[in-house]
Amino acid sequence: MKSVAERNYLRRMALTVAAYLVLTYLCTWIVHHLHPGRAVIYILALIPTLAVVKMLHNVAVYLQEQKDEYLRRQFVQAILVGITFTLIASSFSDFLVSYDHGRGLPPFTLFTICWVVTGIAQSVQSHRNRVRDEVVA
Amino acid sequence: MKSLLNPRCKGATPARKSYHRAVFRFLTAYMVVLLCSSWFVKHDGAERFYLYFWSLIPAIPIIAMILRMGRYLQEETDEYQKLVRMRAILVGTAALLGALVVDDFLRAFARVNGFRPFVLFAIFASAMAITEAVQSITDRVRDDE
Repeated sequence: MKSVAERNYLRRMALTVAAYLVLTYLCTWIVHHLHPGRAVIYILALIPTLAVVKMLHNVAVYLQEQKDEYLRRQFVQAILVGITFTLIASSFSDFLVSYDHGRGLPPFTLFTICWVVTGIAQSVQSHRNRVRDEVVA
Repeated sequence: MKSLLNPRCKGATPARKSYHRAVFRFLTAYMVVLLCSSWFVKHDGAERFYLYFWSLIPAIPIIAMILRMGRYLQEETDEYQKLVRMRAILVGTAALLGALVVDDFLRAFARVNGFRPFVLFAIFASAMAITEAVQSITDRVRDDE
């Protein structure tokens, strides 16, 4: 049974992810079909970040709405796990860029790693919680 | 509120003091490991295996630092301090992901080289530090009032 804060968070996140995908698709389409100048490309690159900022805003709102201290701490821990893996991959990629003729990880890999790992961490946490509940019962 | 203005002052919780000491150690270790790895790659690591090996080593202090951050959140008993750290982590994450997306788009579409190596970690750490500083200034103003 999900709390109101969790339901609100999931709803907001689904909308923001949809907005991110639409904005990314639109920006990609504009770049490939309209061939804008360099200045416009820089502006287009900034547009999808609005959705990213909104994602983090959703997280902040969830942490404010969530009254359960344990769930709040778990959520921050999941984000920390996501950030850890992102920074590890970033450090690895940076090193390769520096010393392997400029070849690092492909674009969008780090962003994907961050959210996927955060999601996996949350799944593991909820699985561990469920096992503990069953043991107590 | 003194603990927020200066983490080393008497008002800082033991968990916070110990966390700051650990972060300082890990940052020093990160700089040393990074320099050592670069030196080894330049002088002895032209082979691909060594290149991948040395590129993974600097990640170890980063892992340790973020694990310590997680442990600090567990150890900290002051709810307000915990909230300040959580906000700083969120702003750091927002700055990191925002920079990542701009960098990815520019690499993919403008065919430009993205940020210089090791800038992303600096962005994350700086954004966290600035957020903590801003929060401590805001708190000081409120205290004065």
